[in-house]
Amino acid sequence: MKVIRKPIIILAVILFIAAVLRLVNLGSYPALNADEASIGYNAFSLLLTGKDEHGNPWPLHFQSFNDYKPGLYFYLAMPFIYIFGLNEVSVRLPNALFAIISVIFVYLLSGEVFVSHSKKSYIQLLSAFVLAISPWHIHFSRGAWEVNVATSFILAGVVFFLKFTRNKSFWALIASGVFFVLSLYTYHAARVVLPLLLVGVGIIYRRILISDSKKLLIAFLICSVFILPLLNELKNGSVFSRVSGVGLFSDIGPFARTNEQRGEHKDYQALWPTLLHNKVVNYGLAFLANWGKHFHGEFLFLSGDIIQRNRVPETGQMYIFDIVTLAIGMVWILRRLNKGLKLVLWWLIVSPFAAAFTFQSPHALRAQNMVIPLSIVSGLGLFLILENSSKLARGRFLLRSIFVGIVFLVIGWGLARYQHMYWIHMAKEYKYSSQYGVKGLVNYVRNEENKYRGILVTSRYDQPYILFLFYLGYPPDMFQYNHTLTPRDKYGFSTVEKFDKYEFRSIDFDKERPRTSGYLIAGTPEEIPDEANIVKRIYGSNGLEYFEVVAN
Amino acid sequence: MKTQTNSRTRTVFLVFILLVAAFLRFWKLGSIPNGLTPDEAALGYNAYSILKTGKDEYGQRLPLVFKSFGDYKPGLYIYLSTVPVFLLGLSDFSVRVVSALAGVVAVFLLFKIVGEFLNKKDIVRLGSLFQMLCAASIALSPWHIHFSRGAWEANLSLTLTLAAILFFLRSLKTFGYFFYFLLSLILTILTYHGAKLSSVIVFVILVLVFFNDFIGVLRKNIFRLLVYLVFSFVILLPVFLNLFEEGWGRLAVFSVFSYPRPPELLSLFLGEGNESKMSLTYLLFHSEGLNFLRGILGRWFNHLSFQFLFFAGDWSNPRHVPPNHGVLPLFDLITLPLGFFLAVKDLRSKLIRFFVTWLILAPLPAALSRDSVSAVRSLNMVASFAVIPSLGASYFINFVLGIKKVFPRILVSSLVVVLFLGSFLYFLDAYYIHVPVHNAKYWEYGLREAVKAVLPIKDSYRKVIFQQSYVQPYIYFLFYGKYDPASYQQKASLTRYLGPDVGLVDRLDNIEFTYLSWPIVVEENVLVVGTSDVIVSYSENDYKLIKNIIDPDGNVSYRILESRRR
Repeated sequence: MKVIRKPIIILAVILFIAAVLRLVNLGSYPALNADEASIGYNAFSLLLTGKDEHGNPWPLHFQSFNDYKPGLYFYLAMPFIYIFGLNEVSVRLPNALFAIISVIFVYLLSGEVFVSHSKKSYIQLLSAFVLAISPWHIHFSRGAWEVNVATSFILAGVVFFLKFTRNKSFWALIASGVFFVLSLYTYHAARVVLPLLLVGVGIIYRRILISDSKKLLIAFLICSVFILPLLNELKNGSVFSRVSGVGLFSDIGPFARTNEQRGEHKDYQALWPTLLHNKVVNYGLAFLANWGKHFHGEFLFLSGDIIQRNRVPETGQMYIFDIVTLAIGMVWILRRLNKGLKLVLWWLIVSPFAAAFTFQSPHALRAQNMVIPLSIVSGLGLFLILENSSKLARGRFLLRSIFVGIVFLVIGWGLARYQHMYWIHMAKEYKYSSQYGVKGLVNYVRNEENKYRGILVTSRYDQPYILFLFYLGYPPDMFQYNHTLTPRDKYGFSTVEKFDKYEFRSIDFDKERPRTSGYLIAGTPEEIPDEANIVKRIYGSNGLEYFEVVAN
Repeated sequence: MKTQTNSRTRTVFLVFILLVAAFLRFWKLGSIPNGLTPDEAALGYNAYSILKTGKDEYGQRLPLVFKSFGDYKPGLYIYLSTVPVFLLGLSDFSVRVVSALAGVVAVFLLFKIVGEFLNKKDIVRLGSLFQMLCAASIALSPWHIHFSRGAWEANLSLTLTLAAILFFLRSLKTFGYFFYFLLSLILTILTYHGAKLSSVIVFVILVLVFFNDFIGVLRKNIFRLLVYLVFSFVILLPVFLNLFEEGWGRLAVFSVFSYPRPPELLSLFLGEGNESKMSLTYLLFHSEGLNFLRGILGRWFNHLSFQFLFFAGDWSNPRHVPPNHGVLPLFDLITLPLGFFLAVKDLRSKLIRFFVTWLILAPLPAALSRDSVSAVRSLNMVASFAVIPSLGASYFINFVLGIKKVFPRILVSSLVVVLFLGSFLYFLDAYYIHVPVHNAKYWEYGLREAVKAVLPIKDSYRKVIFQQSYVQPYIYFLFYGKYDPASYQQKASLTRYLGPDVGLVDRLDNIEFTYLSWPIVVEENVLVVGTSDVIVSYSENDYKLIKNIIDPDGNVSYRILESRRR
């Protein structure tokens, strides 16, 4: 293998591929979901009024459905909404751009990790390539997924930190710290993963850090200033409501098991059973089991997450060929553990920790930052395969081309299959994974609303009010003080059941009919009986029917 | 760092480990696991039948393969069991003795195998500490203990496989051992269905890992090799003939390839993209072959998942593990990754090459079969899972002993001891306390007790109606009634129904085995026995309760009722 003269050109090609995979039809596929609409509308509300939808001025956590979303993404979306207006692309574009920039940062990270490797530009390019086509990364690049932005910040922070360890630049250290802090403002999971990652960084690079303790101290003080507002906010318990709703302890399974296990002893109160079967042991095991599930091949390579919104049919978080590249890359790394490789390994170990503290595991969304160390390892493995095949070919050009051709054919097949599943099957297989059909409904209702006394919309699909606000571009100042949030449900979410002429609830048609004469009623096909006066059927962009609209 | 101990210490340690292994395998062998599986009963009764008459339950004289329930059990376990059955009588304990003993022998064999590698100076870094840890690991392995406690043919097959490996290693020096190597491998096939594939796997790995030595030895002994091969062929022929005659049904039931996607679901899925089985995208992205590959890979991953190894164990058959426990000790969460870490550093070592490759390929027979995971079909993994963590553990021990300062050394070593003991106690508790209570239902505790209760009183009734099922109640009557084999052979008849690969026995003297569609109408003086989920309730006017069989977990499993005069 020759040294690449101009890696930048190849990187540009990779970036182009990354951009195409992330930007094509970004606004229309998949359909906008409630969380994205919430980001868009709250950013819109801030732009116009300086307050969020519920009238809170410039929040760090957005109340939204009472789930208090970490706020940075909302602010990132504001300029896009200012320029392009309130639409799907403005909400999603910041994340897509961060995703594309991440490809560059993985290139840089790989360069830092393999800094002394004679062919490091190959590894860099291949790592970037692997991330560019990664199903895991692409999935969470297409949509306003805060997690991907948080991952990008952590990635940038690590890159700048590694730069600092080489050139001792104070500014690199500051940049690293600032990016780390930004990630904390973006996504809950980063607040668990980042501190653990930094513990590892501290141990691995302890010598450098101690020798540069003055710079470190100043950087730490500066970063602390940036963290203060967040710490202040965290005193407010409501921020934790969502976290505790999905936390490990909200699953009573391990606790119930404790009682069952003690009951199987002759004397359930004796020392022995209480020592072996208690909450610490059972929740500890549950945590470890959750962590381990993120390394299960079924999750990584074959089927992916269980939650439909986070997955593509019959597709893993990674490709099937990644089994080989990961295995080869991992063996190589374990044989030559230097500092940078240790960091990659440590990141891989701690990356699913936040997800493991919740009871839904494996969780592709909360553990999304796994994709960065995995791409580094897989890119390395791919490099080793290509390098060895070129050694095997012993300079014979044709043979080498055949090897390389086969490798890229396999990769191309994987990518093609994933894209096929993504574009052809995903929206139809998981028809409720996103709010398909709502946009069409709003467009229809918008023109009809003057003819009716009120509009009743089913609440069967997640949080319809926010999508209505979003697509109507409803004036925020009119909404902020004219609505009520319902009490939290068992998952910790609230919703709005009424604003202006719009009402949202599940529809019992026979009961609603006498009550709501003069209303336009939009229900699911199951809710609306066939003999009703259906004036319009609303289909989603996937071609399936979602609403039947009745003039009452 | 080398830790060399003299051979006397090693021998003392080995004897000690063997005693511990024997204790963990033989203690309360008859009552833990609490119950008896149909296969165990069948193995025991056929051994009894061979012992008394020289024929199996169907009157076949000294078969290599036993018809049993129609599943055609390879016969070696039965023949070996004739000895304990002869010495101790037919009992839950005596059927399990062969497997328990095989379990102890396996510890010895693994010790010897690792010793062979060490003699070759294969891993110079490691000394006899490593060898002893390997023996200790398999002796204390939850997976190995579990399958040594119960008449598991797979466990005997594993021991024979280990013997084969040992003989193979010796044959590289003295070719005569090659005969014993082949013999042991053949015996695995005469022991366990799954061995047909898993022994071939072992053979192939051995040849590949020792390719140069092996070819060198073969060149010199080509004639003897031919004689051995002819010999093997002659022994194996009847087994394979049998496979062609009867074994396909079983293979078809258990093979993953017998379960393609349901056509309705597939056409629904293809419909989403207006695809059909003729379209190019079907061939590229949705083909049945790819689907099978994904299925096999998924099963293979299951056997290497944390969930299987540490936290849930064999989730598709709870009989295969203690409750809430994986197949490995929790302590291996530390030593296993460490072992792998060391293994990849020394990929030239043949020991590492052999055991790592074996680990990767050993789940193949399980991955090719129907169930999503199977601790029994993948049992051969157990050997590698003793060796690789031992690699980590020996490094760890050397590391701890190498800490210069006294206080940290004591701190770290006591932490390690606490973690190890905690993990070991957790297993002991799961196995010896929870298995007899929690898992009794999976070991047919209720069926055994029901049969034992019916046996003494059955003749005072005109008829006994016993709930039929594929747990084969008839064999429990034969087993616990010590039914005279000669007279049973006259009336043995197995009815095959559509469905599973095994048949059922419908009648034994005055006992009728039928599926109950409760409530049933019967005349007086009839005993009715069924599970509590079939006989949910009954009228006191029609039946008198003779006995409720209560499982150790407190649930009623079987009800024994007597019909009343109307």
